[in-house]
Amino acid sequence: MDPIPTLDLALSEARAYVFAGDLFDALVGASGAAPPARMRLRRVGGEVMELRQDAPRPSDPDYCGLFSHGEGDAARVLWLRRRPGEVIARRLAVRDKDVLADLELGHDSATARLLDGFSVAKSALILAVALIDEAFPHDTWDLSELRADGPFHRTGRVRVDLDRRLGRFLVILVHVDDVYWGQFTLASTPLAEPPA
Amino acid sequence: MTNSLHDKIIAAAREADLTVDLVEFDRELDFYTQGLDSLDHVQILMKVEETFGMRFADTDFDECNSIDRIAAFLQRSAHGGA
Repeated sequence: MDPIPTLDLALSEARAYVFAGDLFDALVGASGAAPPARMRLRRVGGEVMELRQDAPRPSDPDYCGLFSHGEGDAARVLWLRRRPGEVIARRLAVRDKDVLADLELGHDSATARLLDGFSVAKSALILAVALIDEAFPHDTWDLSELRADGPFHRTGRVRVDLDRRLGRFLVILVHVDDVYWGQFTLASTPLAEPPA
Repeated sequence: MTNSLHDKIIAAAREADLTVDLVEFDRELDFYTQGLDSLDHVQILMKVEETFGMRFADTDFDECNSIDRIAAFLQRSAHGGA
């Protein structure tokens, strides 16, 4: 079994929790992942998380989510477990507004130019937050899943589209230069727990 | 006919990336009782949509929470009742 990678986590803006875009970047960095990748989250806060590579245990009270990447024989699944009481101390200096350029916000779509040094995932999530704040100003949405089929870093123009609602979920599609990159699924309330 | 429909739904559900590897889907039990979470549930519904070339409405989510109930929904839809 490979060594368990260490996650380099940091908070951003004034958030008391790890932003999903920063978490995804940390997971990619720690695991050396290549597309496609998928991140599923549950109960992510401001506590330190560790990556586990034994069989995922969603019933673990400290289970935070799942990260999988690669295809076929190269496919790998890791899971996230929080360390209760250990709070993330580092905070990124970069602001959300510094990540995107030429932002254009529409009714159900938003676009911006990707800037060097920032991942598509983080950029698109910041763009999605701007779009959701505009479309649903009174609701709270948490990212449940991020699917990245395209390269983690790109140049060009990123677009997020509100695709649909299903139950309490919202699906957002992500394109870079009009090529499908991936999608986000957000939940309006925390995910229902499976029985212990 | 019914078995074929159920089998197609189960095959679609197996294509969804689920939190838990289910050895066998129980047709009657709701997904949550079988250890799946609500994100698994929405992904199963989206795979069913791909398979059957249809779309669930936002409000169909809670009703379609087991293989049997999805099958009943699809049969009703085919007869114009959904």
